[in-house]
Amino acid sequence: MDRVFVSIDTSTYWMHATGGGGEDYDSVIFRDHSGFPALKGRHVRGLLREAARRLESWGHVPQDWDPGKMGSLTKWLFGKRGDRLAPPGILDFPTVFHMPEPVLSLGEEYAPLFSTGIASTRIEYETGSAKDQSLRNMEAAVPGLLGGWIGFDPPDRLALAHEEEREELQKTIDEARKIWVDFLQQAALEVRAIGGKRTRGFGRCLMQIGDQMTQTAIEGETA
Amino acid sequence: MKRLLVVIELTADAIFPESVATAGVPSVLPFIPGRTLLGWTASALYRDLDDKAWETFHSGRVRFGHGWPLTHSHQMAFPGPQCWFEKKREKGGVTKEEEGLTINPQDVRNLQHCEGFETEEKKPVQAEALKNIQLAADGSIAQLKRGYRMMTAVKEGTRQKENSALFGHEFLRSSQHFAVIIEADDGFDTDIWEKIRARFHSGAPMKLGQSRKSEYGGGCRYKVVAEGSGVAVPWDHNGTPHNTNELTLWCLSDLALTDPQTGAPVLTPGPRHLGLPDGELVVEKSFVSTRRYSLFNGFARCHESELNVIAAGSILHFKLDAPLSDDDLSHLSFGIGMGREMGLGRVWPNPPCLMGKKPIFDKGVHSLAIQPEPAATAMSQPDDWPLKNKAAALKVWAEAKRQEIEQGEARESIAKKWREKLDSILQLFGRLGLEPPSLSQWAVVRQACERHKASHANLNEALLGRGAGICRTHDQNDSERHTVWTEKVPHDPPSITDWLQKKIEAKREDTGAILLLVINDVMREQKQQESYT
Repeated sequence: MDRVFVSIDTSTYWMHATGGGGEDYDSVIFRDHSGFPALKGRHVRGLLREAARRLESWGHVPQDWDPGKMGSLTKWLFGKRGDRLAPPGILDFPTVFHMPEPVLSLGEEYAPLFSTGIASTRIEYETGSAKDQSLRNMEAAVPGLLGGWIGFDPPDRLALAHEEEREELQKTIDEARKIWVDFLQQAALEVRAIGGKRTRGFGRCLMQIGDQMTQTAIEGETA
Repeated sequence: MKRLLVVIELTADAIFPESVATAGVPSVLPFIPGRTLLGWTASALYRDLDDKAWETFHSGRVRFGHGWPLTHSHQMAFPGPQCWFEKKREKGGVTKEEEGLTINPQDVRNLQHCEGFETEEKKPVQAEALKNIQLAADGSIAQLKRGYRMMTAVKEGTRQKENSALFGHEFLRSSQHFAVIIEADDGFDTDIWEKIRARFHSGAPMKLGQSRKSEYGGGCRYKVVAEGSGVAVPWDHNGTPHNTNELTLWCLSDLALTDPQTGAPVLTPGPRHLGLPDGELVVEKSFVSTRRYSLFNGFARCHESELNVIAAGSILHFKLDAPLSDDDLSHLSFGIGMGREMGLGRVWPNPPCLMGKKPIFDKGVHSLAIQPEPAATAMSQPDDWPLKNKAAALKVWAEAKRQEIEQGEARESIAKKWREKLDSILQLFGRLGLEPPSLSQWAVVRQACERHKASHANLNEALLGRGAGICRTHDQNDSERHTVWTEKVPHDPPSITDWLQKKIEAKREDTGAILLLVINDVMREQKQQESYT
């Protein structure tokens, strides 16, 4: 399976909340098993899907891809939304995007350093003063780095397809294999922020997608 | 029989639901179902096998067992037998030892062989089944780590929550180890077996369970730890005396039995449903629970026909017309019923632990010690990662921050000690009717500490210097000053200035910072007292 490494370099506090609260905070952030702030793979998948859909609707699809004949590249790569029985998308996302290894190697006791509390309140329109009972303290992660691998793993649709469709399907998958990295690299630049409260300045980031690496180059990791 | 013993470690949370229902919160299975491993192998081999594919993946000649969780003693753990009961109120069937949970045989009764518990006056004591335990052959119990998470879908375009899309998942937590037995009949095609073997030796990425492309099941580490016909498994050992007519079966996995004539599912089987000599099911000694589910075929993207099964952990007891032979036991060791290729139908005939009124564990004979590898670390970055320096800088920042916090904690503890001395001086001020320094006087000292905390010499000059030191004892012309700072009380040191001098003379680098903490604390307390009065 071919893979690319996705780096997310955040420049502001970011909030990837769990939906739950804690002792000290009204909203706590998601953490990996070593206790460091982390980002769920499905969140990155959603951000990239939205960026890819925008690119596609603006006509920024690689020249060799023929949407009329092959269909939406976004649907091929990310799967069809809302249809449980449809084949899954080609791209394979990690469960969690972790902080880089040098940071994780510090150990669990360093994890609390990477988060802080952000308190905010609502200002009443009429008076300009804080609204009663609107003070909340939310946990946010400090700016840092996150990373994870995305793989190109086409589902085996060919075996299910009729014989006359097989050649066409194979051609489409081969074409997607050629262009997926370039397309994702463009889409990643469209992702400006991660996590919650993105429209309030949280989670500003630069998402970068590296060059393609084949399985043999990274085999040592999976064995 | 050819066998492979594979140890799998979940490197990410994974979901193996008990049913494919989307309503409510389906519980997660306490093991890795064999069908997921069958699917993982088939995804690489199925198309190349052509007409041999059916024999390999559907006939039951190759059996992909369930991935059983490992206990603290590194044994495979199976669903606990339903014939074991503990006292309803007192419990005590499971004890917690230093290493982990184990069965306490003294407080467990096998209701196949006795009526249950009795008091000393021979009165019956109410009992209840030992439920939801994963038990190994040596009596140790696997403690599975589960988690639960709620989530919702976000509407494309609007970025708002989608209606009716709030759902929850129970999942198995990562870093847990499971052991799988994959086996094939002796006469099975050697070339294909080699391909299956090679698949498990390949190191190819393994993602298992639901939602494995985006959130869960995002990777498993696996390793073949033993292979060949010599791999011994717990269910090969049985405590059967030869020529017995009694047969107890412990269902280690679900049993999908069918009637050979009608094809209908059978939930109260007779020996003939198992391919054994004639006889009958002894209902009084059988403990059966059932469940039904429809599997989702990820390859064909559809639900398969519903299965009615005898649930794992059930106990079936038969009285046979003819004695149980070695052939019969050998027949049972291949598994029984449908779905054997995906781990169903695994039974343990006459397991030694069920042969008495109380559980009997022979730790030496039946153990299958599997040494799992240490837990995996997170996935590493590529060697030529352009942000490598930034990651290293982040580490340096964290170390510096930590050091700063540790220093801060150390200062606070020193400040606490300094404060005790200062407090005793200030208390004497009160007793002698003297006026202690006011808030504004303290504020001036605080300001000097704040300004000169980096330089010890400057701090000394600012507080005690003869020129303009705030708490100085003498002016430049050697005349003595009488201020609140130099006021003497019967104490050692006798005044606040002396106390300050002592601290500054110790020449600590962070004297200014510690003094700041002390003065802040004094001022806070003084403010509080003033607000009360």
